[in-house]
Amino acid sequence: MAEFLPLATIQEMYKQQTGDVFPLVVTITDATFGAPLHLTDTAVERLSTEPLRYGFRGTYDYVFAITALLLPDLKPGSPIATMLVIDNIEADYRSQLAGASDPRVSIAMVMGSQPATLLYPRTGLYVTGRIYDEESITLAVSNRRTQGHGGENVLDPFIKHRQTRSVSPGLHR
Amino acid sequence: MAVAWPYNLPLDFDVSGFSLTRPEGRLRSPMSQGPAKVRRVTTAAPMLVSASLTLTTAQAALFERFHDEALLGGIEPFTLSDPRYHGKPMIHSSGLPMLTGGGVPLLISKQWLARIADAVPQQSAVSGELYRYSLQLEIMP
Repeated sequence: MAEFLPLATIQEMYKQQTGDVFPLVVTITDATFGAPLHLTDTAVERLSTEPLRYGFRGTYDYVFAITALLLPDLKPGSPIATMLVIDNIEADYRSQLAGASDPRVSIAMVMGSQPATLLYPRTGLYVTGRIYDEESITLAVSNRRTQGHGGENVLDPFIKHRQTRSVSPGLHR
Repeated sequence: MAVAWPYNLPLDFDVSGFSLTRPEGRLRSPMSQGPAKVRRVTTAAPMLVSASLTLTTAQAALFERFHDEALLGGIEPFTLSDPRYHGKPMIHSSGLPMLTGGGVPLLISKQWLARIADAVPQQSAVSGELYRYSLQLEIMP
């Protein structure tokens, strides 16, 4: 695992043209899951015909089911946080995620030509908010647990401890 | 297994209505000046094919049944042979067909996994007994 990108990867990403793909891969684990969910945001190849599934073959078969995901960046002093939208829902994803008690999410970038190397891995992220609708499941993930237990505003990026006297004394005059 | 194209429905696409667009899996980023940067964002993009079939009344009915029942109205993927290459002899770089030890030509086998793309099949009448179906297919990677 690499926290800093290898020079060869950076060169490949930023050169005039590249034939390599850079999928983001997500692994969701929970004590209630029989096996971890491996998902990706990029269709690289057909994984199976029945059912028709696309995805990325790396260390695992990552299923193409994520429509929106930004790799969370590392800013000193601020939590790692991002949101991911899982589309292409299969019924078992929904029931699995709905029944998950304390899921943990790992996100990493992979270079298509080096599928076993996870780049910028973010592991052990907590799910701080979930929205289920007919079309998709949205998960907010962070390396910090939110205060309280699943309030409606957990997807709000506002961090409660910033309102405390020690962090923001001007609010408490 | 995906549904197969009906064996009793000829797959002779009209030459005039056939066009094929290669899969688009690139992301081109224009620069403020100079040539654009281009990269691959997916290696599994569908290929688009427009084709038309001229069918007799009985064949048209067969196609409609295939579309409505087997494909559930154009939802399910199906397999069909690639009309460009399937069944044609393999040609050596010298221009001669490649043969088995027994002198039988080696033929190409190429199957597509396809779905009905954005537009549903469109029927028009050619003559009293002939209909033309315009199809837009996406060939799945």
